[in-house]
Amino acid sequence: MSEYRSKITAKVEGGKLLRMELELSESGERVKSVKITGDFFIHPEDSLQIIEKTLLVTGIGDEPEKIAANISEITNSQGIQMIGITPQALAGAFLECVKKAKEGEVLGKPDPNVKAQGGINVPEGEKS
Amino acid sequence: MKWRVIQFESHDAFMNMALDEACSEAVAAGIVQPTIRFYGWTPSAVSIGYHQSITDEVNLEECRNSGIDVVRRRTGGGAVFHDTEGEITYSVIAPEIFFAKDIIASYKTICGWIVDALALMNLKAEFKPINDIILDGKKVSGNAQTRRQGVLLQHGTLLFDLDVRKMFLVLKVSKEKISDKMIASVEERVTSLKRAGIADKNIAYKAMLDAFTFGKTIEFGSWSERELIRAKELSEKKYKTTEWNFQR
Repeated sequence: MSEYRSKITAKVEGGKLLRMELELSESGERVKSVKITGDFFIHPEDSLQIIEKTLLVTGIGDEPEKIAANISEITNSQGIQMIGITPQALAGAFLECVKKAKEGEVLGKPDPNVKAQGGINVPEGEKS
Repeated sequence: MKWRVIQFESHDAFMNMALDEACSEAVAAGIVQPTIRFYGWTPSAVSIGYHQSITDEVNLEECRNSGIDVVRRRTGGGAVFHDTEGEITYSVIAPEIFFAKDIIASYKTICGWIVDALALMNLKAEFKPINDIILDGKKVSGNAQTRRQGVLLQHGTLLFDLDVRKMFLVLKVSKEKISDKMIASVEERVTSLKRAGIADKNIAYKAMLDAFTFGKTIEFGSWSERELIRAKELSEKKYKTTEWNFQR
């Protein structure tokens, strides 16, 4: 498990909650794992894994517009419907997760605002 | 087309979810009629949305200590506390061609039946997309839908009574958030039939039954033996398992 892990919670326009958990590789240059959870709807439901796989091969320096366009392309081509969540929200959450994971690297010390929970760092203020 | 209506019955959380799935399979196979069922949760339970993380959303220790079941649904949406006495739950299970292809439009159709039920109780409510019904500006019903193998399953709850303190104990919100201020804030956003002046749960159920069946050819029925066998199997081998409930 690398040092570069993060988890964020974002409120999506319309009120749904999007949580994303991400781990970067040892080098901090690519995404090693990503997990999306939340109270949104995706039809068919198991398509969430397709979106996670898309993010897994996304460049961590990509522009949000490009990431959102990639997600849209995949969802449109496969007939995936997202309700309460958008490609833009996913792209924003992804980049925020990457940023937080990288900040851990830059700081090189525990962030006082971040507490460990279940092996994943969860900012206290994001629990509600 | 004739609908089968299964009148109110209570099961544990695992069997409730298993019956929805067994019925969906039977409707997909064309061996049972489209079905409307009404049910309760005994013991009280928490259900989480298909995409949620159980450890993020549920205070598992509190649930264990209080004898509250926890189950993952096949549908998306959020975590819900199902108090045995606090709600009436329904499922509509039918070929998806019965409803609009547009998912929000189909929510509006089925949620419209709940709005009609409330109207029968002289309560003016409205559907609020994506999946809520609002009474006096507050949420009184939450709903969730999935479509698999050509079958639409929508289930949802109509809140009869609401124990906010209990809800906060089982859903994962930090202890300091369970302040009077926080509870007041939830009560400003969520309401129940009791708060709206409906004191008898049977009146609410009768209204639901009338509104859901209005204009339909129906037959009051029961589960087929095949559905019950399959539901028991799904309950044990799927909905009670760590693999299913902790998959995210």
